[in-house]
Amino acid sequence: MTDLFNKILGVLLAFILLAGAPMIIQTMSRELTVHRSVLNEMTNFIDKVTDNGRLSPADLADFQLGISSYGIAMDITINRYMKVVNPDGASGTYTSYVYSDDLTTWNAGDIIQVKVQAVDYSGAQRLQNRILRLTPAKFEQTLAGMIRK
Amino acid sequence: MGKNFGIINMVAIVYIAALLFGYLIYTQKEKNEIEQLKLSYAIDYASDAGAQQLLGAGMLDMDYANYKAFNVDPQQVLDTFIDVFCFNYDMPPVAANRQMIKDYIPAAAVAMFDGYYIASHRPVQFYKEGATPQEQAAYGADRQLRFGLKQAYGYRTTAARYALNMGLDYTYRLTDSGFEKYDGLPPDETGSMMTKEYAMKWINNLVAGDLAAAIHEENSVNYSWKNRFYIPSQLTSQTGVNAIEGPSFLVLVQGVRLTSAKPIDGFSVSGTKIDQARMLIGYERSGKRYYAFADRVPAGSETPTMMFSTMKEAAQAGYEFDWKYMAGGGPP
Repeated sequence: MTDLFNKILGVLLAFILLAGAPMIIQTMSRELTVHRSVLNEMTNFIDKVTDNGRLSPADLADFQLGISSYGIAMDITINRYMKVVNPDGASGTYTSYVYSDDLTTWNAGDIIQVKVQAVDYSGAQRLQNRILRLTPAKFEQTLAGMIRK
Repeated sequence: MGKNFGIINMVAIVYIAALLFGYLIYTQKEKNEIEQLKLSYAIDYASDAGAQQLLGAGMLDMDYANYKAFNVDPQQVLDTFIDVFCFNYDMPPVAANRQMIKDYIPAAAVAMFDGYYIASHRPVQFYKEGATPQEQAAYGADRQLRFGLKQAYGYRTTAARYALNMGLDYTYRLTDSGFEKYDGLPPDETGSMMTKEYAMKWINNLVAGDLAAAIHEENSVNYSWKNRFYIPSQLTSQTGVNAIEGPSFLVLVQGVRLTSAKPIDGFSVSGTKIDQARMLIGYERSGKRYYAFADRVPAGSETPTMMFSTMKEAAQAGYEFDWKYMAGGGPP
């Protein structure tokens, strides 16, 4: 009886080790690459805008294509905060950043803030939820840079 | 037979347990690594903006006589750094958030033409101007991230003291007979005039050393401090590479816990490279207004009427690009 039980258990374990483990390792390393690649896309995009001082529709399309080419659907939000310096009435100045929705022409000193949010859970996250009942957060990153020109 | 299967299954279960643990540790590591990467991007963007503030300052006070010289307010640089850092973590740069970021910065340095500023947490007392001692006590005090006094790039020999600057064309010398402007660089240990590399290295060492001292002091009451922190190798003199070659901004961000469970650290150096201002001059020739770089126009050939710092400015003032001097001939 125990022999039969052990045999069944053995087959199950062999399946987990032979099929489950490679799958987990594969999805984990893939996820790490995706996160890094998305961060790289974001820095490339921010560098492009901060160096040029403008954001053309082609640049934006290029960025969207780049972000969505890693297998996870991502939402992109681009915010422009216009730098405003005013006198404070006591012979000094104060700086504030005002949200603006004009994304085509930028002034030097403006801040571009790029937010990327995953629409759905990734494979590794689903696996984590399936096997370990963990609820990892969806991928979300924010980066910001200041316009140079 | 059944026993053997049991042993094999036990081994397999141990493997699976190890796999699960490995998985958990790996995901944690992965998250930390991404956060570390993000922090380094955030610091780089913020310090870039800070260095840009060095350039964007209203009056640079540059001229040809002072190579690499200009003056700005270091507090502006730090403020810009904090603003951009806040945006990188999706926080509006309001007073509370700015204060939180300041707490993560044990030390920062702004290296300028003829001296440097070190920011560290210093006791600050708040009171209105002209307050009585009782009122002052009521306002209280706090430790805040503030810049100290500007410190010169001092160099000392047995005979004199020198104040170096980044232009490396001249120094100021203080001897028993008085204070004077001294052409060239001071003598090094061997007695001959020091090389420019040596002088730059000296400046680097001064800033890096003072920054390290500020970081050390800030952490002197920190129990988890291991007396070590990471400064990029460019900054340490052993490699012989100079991080500070022009006006620069250096900042350490330590113990950030904004998005990660464990505190993480980051360090960034960002430099600017302004060698000299290349000014444009505007002049009138045969009834038409032209502009050209001042160094392109032969001395005495034109009478400048205006000075501009960019071509755009010149064009806006109604001056045209002068092919004669700018391209060494007529338009193609």
